[in-house]
Amino acid sequence: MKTKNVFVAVLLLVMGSFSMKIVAQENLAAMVKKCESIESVDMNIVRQKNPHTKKTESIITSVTIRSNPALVSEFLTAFRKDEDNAYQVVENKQGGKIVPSFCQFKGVSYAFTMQGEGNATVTEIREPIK
Amino acid sequence: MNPKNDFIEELINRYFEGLSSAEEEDTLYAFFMRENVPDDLLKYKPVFHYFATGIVDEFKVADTMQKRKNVRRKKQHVAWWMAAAASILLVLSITVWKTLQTPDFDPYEGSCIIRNGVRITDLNVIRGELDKTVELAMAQRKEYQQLIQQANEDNAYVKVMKKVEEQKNEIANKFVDENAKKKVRKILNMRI
Repeated sequence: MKTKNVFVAVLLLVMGSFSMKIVAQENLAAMVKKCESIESVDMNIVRQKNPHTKKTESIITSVTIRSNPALVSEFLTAFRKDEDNAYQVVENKQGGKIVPSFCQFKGVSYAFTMQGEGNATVTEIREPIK
Repeated sequence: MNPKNDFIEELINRYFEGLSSAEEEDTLYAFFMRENVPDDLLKYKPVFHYFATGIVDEFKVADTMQKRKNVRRKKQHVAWWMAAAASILLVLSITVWKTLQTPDFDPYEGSCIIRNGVRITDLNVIRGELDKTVELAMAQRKEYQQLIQQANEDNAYVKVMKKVEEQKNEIANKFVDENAKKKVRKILNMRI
C-alpha cells in the first residue's frame, strides 16, 4: 500500500511537471489556432521540409489582423500571460503602449507588430527540438 | 540388233523394276547424257536426263533454299536479340534518367494560406506568398535576437565598469590624506 502511494505521488509529480511544460505558451498557441476560423484574418502557414530527409524543419505561421481591435487586444493579453514562461522577451512602444513584441520559448517564438488601430501581425515560428 | 542397245534395254528394264545397281544406273545416266542416243531409245532420254540432273538440281535448289532458310532464320534470331537488347537499353535509360531527375518533392509540402476563411493549398499559386512569409519571419527574428544579444553585451559592460569603479575607490580610500586621495584618483582615471 505504501509503495503504491509513493508510486502514485511520483507519477503525479512527473505528470505535473510535464503539464507545466505544455502551458508555457498555450495562450498564444491557442490564439493562433483560433485565427484559422476567423474570416477577417489572413494566415500564411509555411512548412519547411528538409529535401533529403523530408522531415519538417520549421513551421512558420503568419497572422494578419485587419480592423479587429478586439482580436488585437486578445493577442496582447495572451502575450502578457505567457511572457513569464519565455526565456527571452523584447518589449517596445507600439501605438503609444509598451507591448511585448517578441517572446522566445523553447522550440517556438512569437513576434507581434502593431500597424495602427485594430491591425496587427503575429508571427509564430516553430522549430522541432532535435 | 545392236548388242549395246540390248544391254541398255536390259538395264532400263532392271532400273524400272528397281533391280539396278548404282553402277548400272550411272551407266544408264551416262548413256542418255550423250548427244547421239539411238532413235529407239530416245523416248527414255528425258526420263534418265531428269534423273541424272533434275533430281540433283532439285537437291541443289532444296539445299540452297534450306541454306537460305537457315540464313534467314539466323538473321531473324539476331534481329530478335537486337530488338530485345534495344528494349532493355531503352527501359534502363528511362529508369536512369528518371532517377537522375530532381525528385518530385516540394520543401513547402503541407503549406497553405487562408484568405476569407478559404484554405488555398496549391503550391504553384501560393509559392510567392510563402517565400515572402519565410523571408520576413526570419529577418524579424534575427533582428530581435541581435537586439537581445546587444542588450546582454551592454549589460555585461556596465557590470564590468561598475566593478572597476569600486576597485578604484577601494585603492583611493586606503590614503587618509585628502590631497593624496585626490592625486591617486587622478592617476587611476588617467587613460593609458
